[in-house]
Amino acid sequence: MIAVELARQLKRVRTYVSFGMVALIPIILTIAYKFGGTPHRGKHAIAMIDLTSYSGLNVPIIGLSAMGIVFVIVAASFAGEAVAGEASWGALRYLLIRPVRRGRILAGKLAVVALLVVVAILIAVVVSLVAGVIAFGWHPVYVFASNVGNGIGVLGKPVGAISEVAALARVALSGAYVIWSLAFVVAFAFMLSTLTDKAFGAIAGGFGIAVVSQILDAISQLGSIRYGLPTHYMEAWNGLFVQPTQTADMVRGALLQIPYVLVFGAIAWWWFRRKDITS
Amino acid sequence: MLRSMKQEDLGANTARGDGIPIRIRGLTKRFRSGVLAVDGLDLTVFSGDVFGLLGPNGAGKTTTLRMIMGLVHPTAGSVELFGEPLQPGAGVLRRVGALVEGPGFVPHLSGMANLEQWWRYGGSELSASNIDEALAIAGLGDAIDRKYKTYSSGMRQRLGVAQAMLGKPDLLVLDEPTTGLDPQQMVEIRSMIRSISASGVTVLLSSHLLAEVEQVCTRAAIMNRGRLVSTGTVEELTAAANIVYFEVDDVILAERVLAGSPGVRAVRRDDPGLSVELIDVDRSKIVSVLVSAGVAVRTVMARNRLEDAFLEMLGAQPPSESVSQVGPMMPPQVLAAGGSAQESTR
Repeated sequence: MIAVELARQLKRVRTYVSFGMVALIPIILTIAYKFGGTPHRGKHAIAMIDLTSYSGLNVPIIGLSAMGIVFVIVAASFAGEAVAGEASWGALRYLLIRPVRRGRILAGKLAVVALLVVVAILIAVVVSLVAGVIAFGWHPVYVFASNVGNGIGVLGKPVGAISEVAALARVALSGAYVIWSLAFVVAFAFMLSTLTDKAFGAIAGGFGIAVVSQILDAISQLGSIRYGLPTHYMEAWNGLFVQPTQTADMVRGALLQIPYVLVFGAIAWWWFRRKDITS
Repeated sequence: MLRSMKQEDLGANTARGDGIPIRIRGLTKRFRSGVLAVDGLDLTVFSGDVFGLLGPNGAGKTTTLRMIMGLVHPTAGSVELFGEPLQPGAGVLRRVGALVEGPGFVPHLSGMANLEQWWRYGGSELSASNIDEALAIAGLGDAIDRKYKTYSSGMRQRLGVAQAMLGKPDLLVLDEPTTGLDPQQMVEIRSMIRSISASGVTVLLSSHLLAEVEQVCTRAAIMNRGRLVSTGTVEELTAAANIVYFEVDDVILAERVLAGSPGVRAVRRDDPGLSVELIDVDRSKIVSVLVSAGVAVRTVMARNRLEDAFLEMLGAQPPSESVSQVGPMMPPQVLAAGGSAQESTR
């Protein structure tokens, strides 16, 4: 069943467009850094972008940061299509008259969605790593004090460096964290995909929940509520590249995904088993 | 005592396992919207039947078929397939092939890949699919390797029937199998259904086309507004009946004249004419009664019971509907004119 699901996706142009997009963006980033020149921000301050010139290993780090929104779109589109896309072709009713329980059908579809999301982010990490090392070489990675902002900001002066292999391991861990931090997007879009026959709505919904969560997260008046937002710890993997290394937020972020996945997943399962298939 | 009863039940179940393909009891579906689509339906389809479910659009035929396939959950009542109570995704569905509201395939895959994937989705080996036989039914030739989205509607329909025939099902459920086809393709699909039936497959077919059911089916049930109106063998239902349809210049006068005339049991308005039920009187006699009363008779037609049951049920609908929707869809004169003319009015 999973083999069939996978074959359906791997024969689609759309799947390769998604994969191509997540491969192309790091290449464009690398070329831009390589030939775009180094902006000057004063003697002791270094922007994250500038780091690329010190080690190719910085490209996947910056890539994971910069491509957050792209990953959300990719995850939402794979998950939102899963059931609703089938329904819009009129093929869902034919799958459901096979002697297979609906719960298993749903589990098979979710497994394939998860696999595609994992592959997409792996592609992004591997391509940016290879492109980065080719362009900037295999060198230790500078790390900065933990009290400076995360993301592609101005970082101040480096306070240390981590070895190439350690940096590679942390990049891999970051990739894994980014994948898991998309779980709520996948679960929500997948849930919507069982509720509607319109794939586009489910995709937009998956993208929407991430955007809304981020907007709410930016409103400081909401106080501690923000710590429960699924995107709040999305960039917590940046803590792997500061000194001292911070992993507490990563743990919180990883745990925070669980209730979202369980709730959205349970609704999808509950609904789909009871659904009258009229598509 | 209890134990022995249980064993008996078990025995009966296995015995019935190869028995009645479809047994429906009190099947009811009220959708969340409040629409009562199927209302207390009792229906049994026996092995070897080509069973026609006849009714106008919106009669509840498709909802019934969807409940038989486990796609729609009944509000009340039960469906048993081959003696097993049906649940969504039940193992007994392995014995069933279906075409429900038109074909539904993955557009970016070839016809062949679609068939193979659909079959393997149920966890069955491709070798058990009888795919060559199904492909022969589809008759798509080399086009089977083209992407589904390039297919014409006739090709899509044939691929749908081929999919339904994968794995040699014991029961074939076909929902409006000729919808959207041209007359030539309709003839092909119908002869295909007859030959499938000849190979021992039980067929349940829904249609809003009277002629289709008459041509293809051995037994039929007429459905309207979620209820069963009439059921029987097609021979019974199409046997010459004593109901005659008259088209006259003055319907009101004719109705008054006939209502009191001997040999007439009932007179019913049947736009644009009248349906008259006769007892032991020749229809020529009725014509002369009408003519001598000053009514000009344009058309006289004997009508069989299937037609009559069908029309009766259409007549039972509110006037506005019967004029605007049902009336033009199937006027009586077209009904009598035979298959192709009838279909061309759709």
